Amino acid sequence: MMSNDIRVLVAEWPSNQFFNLAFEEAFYRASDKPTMRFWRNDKVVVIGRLQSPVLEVNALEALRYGVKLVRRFTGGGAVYHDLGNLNYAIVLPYADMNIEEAFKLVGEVIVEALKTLGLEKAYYRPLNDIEVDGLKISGLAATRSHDRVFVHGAMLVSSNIELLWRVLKISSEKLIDKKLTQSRVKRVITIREALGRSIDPGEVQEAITSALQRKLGLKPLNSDLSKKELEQAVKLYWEKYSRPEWNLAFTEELRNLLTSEEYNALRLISKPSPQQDEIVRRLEEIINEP
Amino acid sequence: MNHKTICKEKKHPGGKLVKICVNIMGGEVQGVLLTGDFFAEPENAVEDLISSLLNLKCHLFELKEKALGIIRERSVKIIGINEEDIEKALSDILENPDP
Repeated sequence: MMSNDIRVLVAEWPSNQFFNLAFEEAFYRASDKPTMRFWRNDKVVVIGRLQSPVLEVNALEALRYGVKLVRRFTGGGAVYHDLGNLNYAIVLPYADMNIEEAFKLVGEVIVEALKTLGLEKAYYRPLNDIEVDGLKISGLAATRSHDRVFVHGAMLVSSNIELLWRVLKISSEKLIDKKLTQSRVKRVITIREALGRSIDPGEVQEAITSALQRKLGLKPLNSDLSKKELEQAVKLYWEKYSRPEWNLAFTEELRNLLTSEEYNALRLISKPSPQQDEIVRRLEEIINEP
Repeated sequence: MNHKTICKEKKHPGGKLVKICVNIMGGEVQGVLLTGDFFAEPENAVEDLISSLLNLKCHLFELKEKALGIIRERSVKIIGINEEDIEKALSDILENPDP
């Protein structure tokens, strides 16, 4: 790989949201060169590292609609993913860049991509939002270490917004930056709604990699995931992302805010099913093949 | 003894949301939970800060001073919220101590 290339991989396990998040961390830790990942998740609420599930998720609704709950390793707020949402993640080996600068850089790349898709009114709103006409279309989260920055985001392409509002708890304080329409608060918009036409996640992916090349001069090179990434992701899955100690952190402290039904629902939605564990066991077999 | 958990949240325009919950038993603070959609670094330091607040036990009237003291003594860069947001959330808890 040349120094002005960026490795691009599509690595996704939509039916195992816990493994998708485990791979995300493995991908960040393994990438010492510019790298980008695109991926999708089936129905799940992904909460930020510093959030309590008790305050963010309507657990009974999530259980009713088959929506899982996973904690990610970066800060920021809770988001709803389904197959109409495209996730992107980027690692850049910029040792001197702080988190605010990383948000701005990636935010502007995403805005450029949305403009090429026809959304001229898209703009980056600090700290970590991309909006179209006052409505959020994508949110970013980030972290960094001594030698790299990592920014990832969720892009609403054609998600089920009604279900999104059912499963996320909405804070009245959060609405102060948002616009009111006919006594109802409209805060988010999908690309499909903004463009007024159906759109394939692949088209959005293509727009993002092209924008990356134009804005940062990084030439995309398609790549497969590495054995190292997969091994690390499997380890993180069993030790962290499939466990209540991680997904349900900051829950016991607020236990008396929950009914026993809500508490049980939280335990159920934050635990992988046997079928989801089986997906990871099959990956382990692939890793261990001679 | 009467055990209650009171949560208040604050956000300044353009900022991120901080949510503070305090467990109170018989007028005594039994732990403070600091959560929200903000960012913080270094990662380990913020986790230490959160656990110190969770372990905070004091009289209710000392809550603000003790909690802010713990936050100030840790060198954690919190991105998206400021000390005023935290102070306001704690004041709300003291002024309206009902869940």
